[in-house]
Amino acid sequence: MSQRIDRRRFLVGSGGALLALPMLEAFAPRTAFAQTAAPPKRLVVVFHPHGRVVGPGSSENWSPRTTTGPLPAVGTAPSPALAALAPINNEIVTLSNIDNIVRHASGDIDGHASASASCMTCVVPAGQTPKGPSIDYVAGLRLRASTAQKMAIVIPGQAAPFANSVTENNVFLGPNGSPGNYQNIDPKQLIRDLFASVVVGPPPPPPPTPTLRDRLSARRGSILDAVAKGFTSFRAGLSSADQARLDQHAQFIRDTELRYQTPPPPPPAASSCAPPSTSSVPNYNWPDFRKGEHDDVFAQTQIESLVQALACDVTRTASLFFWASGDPGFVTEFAGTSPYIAGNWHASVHGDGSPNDPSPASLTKGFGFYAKYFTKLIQRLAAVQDTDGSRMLDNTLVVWVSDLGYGSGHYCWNYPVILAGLKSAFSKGQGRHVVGQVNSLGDLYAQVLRMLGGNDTKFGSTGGSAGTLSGAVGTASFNFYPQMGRPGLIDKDTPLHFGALDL
Amino acid sequence: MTEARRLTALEYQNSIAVLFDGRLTPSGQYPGTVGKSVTGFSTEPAYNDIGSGGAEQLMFAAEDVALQLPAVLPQLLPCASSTPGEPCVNTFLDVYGARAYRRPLTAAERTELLDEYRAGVASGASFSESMAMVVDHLLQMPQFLYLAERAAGSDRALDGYELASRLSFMLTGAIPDDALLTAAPNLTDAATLTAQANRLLASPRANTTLARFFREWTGTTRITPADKDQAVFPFFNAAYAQSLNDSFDRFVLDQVRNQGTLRTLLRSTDAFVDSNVASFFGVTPPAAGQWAKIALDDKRYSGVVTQPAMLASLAHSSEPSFVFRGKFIRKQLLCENLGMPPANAQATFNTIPLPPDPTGKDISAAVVARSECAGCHRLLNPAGLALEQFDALGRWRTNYASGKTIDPSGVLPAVGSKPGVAGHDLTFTDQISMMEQLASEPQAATCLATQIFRFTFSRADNASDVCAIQDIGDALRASGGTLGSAILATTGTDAFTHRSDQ
Repeated sequence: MSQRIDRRRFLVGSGGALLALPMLEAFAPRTAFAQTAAPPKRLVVVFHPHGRVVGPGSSENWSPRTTTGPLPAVGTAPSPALAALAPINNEIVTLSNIDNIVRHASGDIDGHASASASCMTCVVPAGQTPKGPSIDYVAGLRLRASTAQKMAIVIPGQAAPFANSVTENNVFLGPNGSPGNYQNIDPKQLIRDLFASVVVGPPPPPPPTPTLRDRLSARRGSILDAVAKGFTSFRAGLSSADQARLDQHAQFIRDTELRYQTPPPPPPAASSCAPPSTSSVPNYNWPDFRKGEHDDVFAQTQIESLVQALACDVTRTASLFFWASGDPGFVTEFAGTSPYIAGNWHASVHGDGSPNDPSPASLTKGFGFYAKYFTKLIQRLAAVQDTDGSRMLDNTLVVWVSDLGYGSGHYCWNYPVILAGLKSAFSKGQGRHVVGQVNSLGDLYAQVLRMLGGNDTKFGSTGGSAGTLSGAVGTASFNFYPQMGRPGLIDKDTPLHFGALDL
Repeated sequence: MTEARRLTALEYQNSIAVLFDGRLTPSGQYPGTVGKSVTGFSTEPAYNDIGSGGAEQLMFAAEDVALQLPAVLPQLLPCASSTPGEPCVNTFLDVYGARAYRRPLTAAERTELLDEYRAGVASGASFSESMAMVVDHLLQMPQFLYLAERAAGSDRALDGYELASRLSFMLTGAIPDDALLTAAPNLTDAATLTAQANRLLASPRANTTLARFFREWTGTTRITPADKDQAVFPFFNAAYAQSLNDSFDRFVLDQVRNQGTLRTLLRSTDAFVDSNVASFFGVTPPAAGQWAKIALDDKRYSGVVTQPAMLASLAHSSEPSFVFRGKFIRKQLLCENLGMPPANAQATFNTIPLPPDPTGKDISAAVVARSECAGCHRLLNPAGLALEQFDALGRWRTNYASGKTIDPSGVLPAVGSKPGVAGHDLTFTDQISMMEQLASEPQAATCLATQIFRFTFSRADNASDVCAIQDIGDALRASGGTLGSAILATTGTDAFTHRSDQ
């Protein structure tokens, strides 16, 4: 398939001066072109490993609130772990009390493997073996315009390659738990793979110099507004009868003004489709990237490729995948002296295996890396102009999940979940924290599908006619973590679905 | 009380000409009138309210004018070429802003228009383009579009700028010219006001307004070939229509400018002819393209009511209308309140049996025989029947098409009647004797004062206006009854120089 894309500029790789810009800005074309087609809905999944990095027995550092309510104003850190989300507080909804129920019927109730195999599928794994498709795949089947589009692509978010295929390969999954559509980790190759079929047309000619008629037309809304205000001030000294006459005239002006209101300026750095250039992304040079020393540049490169894959309609479902065993260094969070260059993030998360993390401060900093790039992803989606001139973010649902609730003990309760984008699907708005009345990941994904236009009430395993864990395939585990303060929550009578989230 | 009113289309055209020294063409998109004028005068406030699409039309009209600005800006504003910038914009506002608003701009008004200029510059527009935006803005503002005065409470004297606007729109149908604006601060002085009124009335700019007064008073429209049945009047083309229209205007202007009185207005045999009108009257035409003042047959013609344009306006497309013509005599010349015809008047008429080849009097008699019609038609029909010897285009005739002779004699009943006063009958042999008696009728003189009042204040008179109309009537008599003096005298009345909102 060949997709011909029209665009005004192609800044990526267009010169050294641009490359001196921060990476995402350098990627960003500066002008937009008029488009009016209704944009498609899209889904982006962001995945990071290890859930919340501090156990529930320690001080909470993830949840912005303990009750449902508004998030802090933009610019204020919602929580220590989510401090990097401060610029987009008004664009997100954070969620608490969402559990992975089905993992407990897998027969493999500890470690990462069964959690990875179930956290996106909500289908009971056979031990560590996934048995169903992940949410991105299910949504991707519905969202794509044709079979020519790439299905539910998974873009690596970090440079270190997979170290443990049992966990990494089991997160994003296709039919019956087959491997998902993982893309090449080499960012140059990723660009070639994604955009080979996208043909960029010649840049359109510069807009003609506006005529005086154009300029007067462009000022109509503003002048009518000023004239209406002029009527208001002019009427002050007049008789009541004269005021009524002028008020009627002013109302007609206001009615007319509605038809001539100047549309808001397009978002900055907006463009519908501008495939990244391979010349502007780093060579993939393992082992230089082995400890995440260059994850900052790498993540930005990958985010732009993901955003442009959506903007160019290469796919309508894409995921950004940070995995568990790659040992990220988080050098940007530690000013180049990251303890995880020499140490091991995974081991550190688990600490001594107790629910309480031994080093929350460092782990929180590391967690901040994911929050930082989630924010960049949201901001980039917001900056891209969609086919109708709206923000692409407003037509794209972003779901950020993890494999575990509390990573320190492989706990599958209270997953860290954040939603963003597709503003119209949030009847109660965004900028909120929602504490569920105990919900499952199946509830979450069914609601995601509804937000994208479906009528789903369940996702993954349904637990037979009773809809409970005992009806699901495998062996249920009861009261596995009573010390977590939620004894007895997961047992044979635990439902797999609890209903809608308060969104 | 004088209500705020939007400029009429004619006033808008005149004002654009004054505002920009005739260098910019007024837009044809300026919204017209809505509904019906109660008095017949086009300046009534409600008649000029805008409809729901009016704001957009005003916007388009302002843009039409603004688009022309850059081409003539160097002539209008020399500094646009030499020193463009905000000081030059201020110069523009000092001159053209003050003309448009009919007074110096307030600081806030100046800032608002300067901001428009600044927005233009900020958008990348040139100086002249930015000035066009200022003009676009200016021409949509209420200060330009409306004649509005500050509320007065029980009574207050108008300030000089308010008087300048009243005077200018009354006499020239336009914003004040620079001489009047300059004199405005002193217009509260009666002598200054009179001097300016005399100057404006003598100006050619007063012609269209004076002609409008007589046209709207008499119901004389600008007739066109579309108004008449081409099968009956095949010669009546656009040029012919234009000649008849111009002839009417020349007659009434001559009356005002050459000491005409109510009597001469109603009894003069003068007519103005070009080749078309000369053909119409069957007289020797003047040189091509020229106009001549001639005297018509005094056995047939009598003043304004026998001017062809007026007779043609008060007629149907192929037949004259004794109802329209009689209505003018009773309602507009004698200021009698006849009320409005019922909604089913035409339907009722259609059911009235008529004899074969009915004359006007046959038809009138059949109508008056119906009790529901008699109340008004017995009053107005005789006056119209007196003018029956003029056909639908105002041509003289003595017989109907059927061959029957036209009888213009009759009795005009109950002239001057009002509650408690029976009035008197006027018996006439033809239109000449009727007009002779009407020219001496005191009620006609009072009515002229009333019509000048309505024209000046753009509204119907009411009981509280008796004194003001009396003042105008007194002025009319004091001036020897000349039409021009009567109009000028109006400007010296308290009603003109003061405002009351009670």
